[in-house]
Amino acid sequence: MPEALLRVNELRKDFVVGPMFRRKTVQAIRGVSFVLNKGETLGLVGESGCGKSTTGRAAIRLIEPSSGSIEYDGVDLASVGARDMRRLRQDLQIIFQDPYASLDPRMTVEQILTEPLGIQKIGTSAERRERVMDIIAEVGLQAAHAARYPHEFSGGQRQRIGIARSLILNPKMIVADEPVSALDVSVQAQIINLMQDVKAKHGMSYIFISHDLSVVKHICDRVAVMYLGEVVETASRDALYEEPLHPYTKALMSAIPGRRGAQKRITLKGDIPSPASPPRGCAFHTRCPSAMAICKTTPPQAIETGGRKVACHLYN
Amino acid sequence: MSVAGETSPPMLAIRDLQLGFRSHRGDVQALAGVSIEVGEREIVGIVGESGCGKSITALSVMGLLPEGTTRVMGGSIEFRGDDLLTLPPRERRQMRGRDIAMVFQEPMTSLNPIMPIGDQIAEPIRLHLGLKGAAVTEHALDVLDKVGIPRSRNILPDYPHQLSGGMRQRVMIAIALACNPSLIIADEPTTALDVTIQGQILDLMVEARDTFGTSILFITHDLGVVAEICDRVVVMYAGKVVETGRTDEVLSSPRHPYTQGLMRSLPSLDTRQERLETIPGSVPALFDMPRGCRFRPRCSYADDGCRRDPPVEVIGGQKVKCWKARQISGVHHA
Repeated sequence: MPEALLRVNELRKDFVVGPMFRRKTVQAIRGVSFVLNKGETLGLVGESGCGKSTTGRAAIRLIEPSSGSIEYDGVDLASVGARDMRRLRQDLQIIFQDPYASLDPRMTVEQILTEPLGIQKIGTSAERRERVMDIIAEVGLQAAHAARYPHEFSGGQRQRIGIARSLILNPKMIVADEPVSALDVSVQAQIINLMQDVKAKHGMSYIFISHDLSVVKHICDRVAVMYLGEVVETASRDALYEEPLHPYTKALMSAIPGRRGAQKRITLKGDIPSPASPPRGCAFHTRCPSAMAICKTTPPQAIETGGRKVACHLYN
Repeated sequence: MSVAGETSPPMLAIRDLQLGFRSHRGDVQALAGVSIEVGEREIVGIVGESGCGKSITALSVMGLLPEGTTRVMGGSIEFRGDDLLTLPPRERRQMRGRDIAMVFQEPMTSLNPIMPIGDQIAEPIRLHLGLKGAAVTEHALDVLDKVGIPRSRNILPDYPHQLSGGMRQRVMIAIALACNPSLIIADEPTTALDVTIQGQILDLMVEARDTFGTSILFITHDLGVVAEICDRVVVMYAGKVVETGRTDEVLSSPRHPYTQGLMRSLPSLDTRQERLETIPGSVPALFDMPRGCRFRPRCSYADDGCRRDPPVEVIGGQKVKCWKARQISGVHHA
C-alpha cells in the first residue's frame, strides 16, 4: 500500500486582475485534490492556463492558496506559521522551467548552491563547501564550474545547476515545473535521465508539471490531467495512456503529433475558455464532443472507478 | 503524397548556400553549404536543434536577413528559375507576400499590435492583387473563412491582443494565403500553441496544400509534427544539412548518426524504456566548429577520417552527409 507524502484537498487560488474599478477575479485553480505518494512521480498535465503551475506552486506554498488544505508530515502547510514553514522548506523544493530566469546572474554556482545551506543554518563553511562540491559532481558538472556565473553555461548545464540547487537540502519532494520544455531534444534526454538518477539515489517524490505527454509517460508513475483549474482525471500511467476515460484526456492523447498507429485525431472545436469566466456546469462542455444536456448545468463530481478518478457525467 | 518534386524541376532550389555572421569574436559561418529543394505541392520539413541554421535558411529565402550583420558568401536560391539573391530589391519586394509568404512562430510579435486585423489582411491584397474598396474586404473575409475563423466580419476591427494565440496564428496564415502564393515558409508555426490547437493549425496547413496547391517549407524542432504533415524532411546540424529523404523513410530508418541519436533520445509513446538514450555533449559554438564533420566530437562512429568534410552518400532515397553512412547502414558500394 503506497504511503502518502502530500495530500492536497480542495485547493483553490484566486487572482485579482485588471485595473482599478474593473477588477475581476480569476479562479486559477478551483478545488484541486490529489495525493502524492512517497517515492512517486506524479505528472500534472494540461494546456496553458489550466492551472498546473499554480497548483504546483500552491502545493508547496510558493504562492498562498486562497483555501483548501495541504497535509504534509502531520501538519497543514496551508495554515502553518512562517517559522515552521521555513523549516519545512528544506523538504519541499522546486525546479523551474527557465533556468536562466531562475538563477541569480550575479552569483556564482557555488554561491547559488551555498545560499540554501546558509538560510537553513546547516554545517560549517567547510562542510557546506564539501556538500556543494558533491552535488556539483552528482549533477554532472565539473569542480571548475563552481566559480562560474550562470551566463557561462549552456541551457542544459543551467538546468543541471537548477537541479543541484533543488537537491542541496536533501528534500523529500521536488516540484519540477516544465523542467525540460525549454531544452533541445538531445539535451532534454540527458536532463530526464539525470532526474531519474537522483530520484533512484535519494528516493524523493516528484510533482512533474508538463504539457508534453510523451515525456510525462516516460517519467511519471501516476498522472493528473487538468483543464481550466480542475483535475478532470487521475490514473496510473499505464491506465491513462492505454485507456483514457475523460473526453478531454482522449482528445489530448489523440492530438500528440506523429503518434504511430494512432487513431484519427479528435479535433476539439474552438479555444480554451478564459479562466476569468469558466463555463457553467462542466468546464469542458463547450468543446466536448460527447456533451449532454446535464453537462451545461451541473458540474460533474469526481468518481472513483477501478483505482482511478474521473470527473465526467458519462461515467456517473 | 506528392512526388512532383522528383519529376519536374523544383519550385525552390537552395544550392550550396553559405552565410556568414559578423560577431564580436570575428566572422563565423552560420550556413556552410546548405542545399534544399521544394517541389510543387510538396510539404518539406526542416528539423534540427537550436542554432542549426533552420530559421536563418528560411529568412534568406524571404530576403529578410538582418542587414549589416549577415552576409551571403556563396550559393544561390532559385525560385521558379530566378536566382533570388541576384534579383533587384524591387522585384524581390514584389515577390514577397505574392509568390512566397511567411508564417512566423510568434504571431503576437509578428503582427502589428496597433493595426486592426482587417487592415493587416487588406495590405497585401491591395498591394499585390490591386483590388480596391469593397472588393478588398470581400477577399479578406473570404480568406478568413478559409482558415476557419468564425464570424470573420466581427474580428476585422479587432487588434491582435484581443485574439487568442490560436486565432492569431489563423490570422497569420490567412495573411500568408491572401495572395495565393506558390510557397509558404512556416517557421515553427505551432511551437507556441497548445497541443489541441496545434492539431487545428496542422490540419489547416495540409488543407492549404490540398486545396490551393501551395508548397510549404515547414521549419520545426518537433519530429512528431514532421511525421504528421511533411512529405520530405531535411535534417540540419550546426549549419549543414546532414540527411534528407522521404519522411517515412528517414523516420523509420535514419541513416546519419545525428538523426539516429535524435530519434533515440525522444521518449516513445509506444514502447517502454527505462532510460533514454542521449547524444553526449552539446552543439558546438559557431566560432568553435570542429573541422570536417561537425558532428564528429559527439559521434560514436567517428574516427580520424571524419576530420575531412564528409561526402553526400545516396542510400536508397536518402541522402546522407557522413563518411560512415554505408558502414552504419550495412550498405556497400555496388
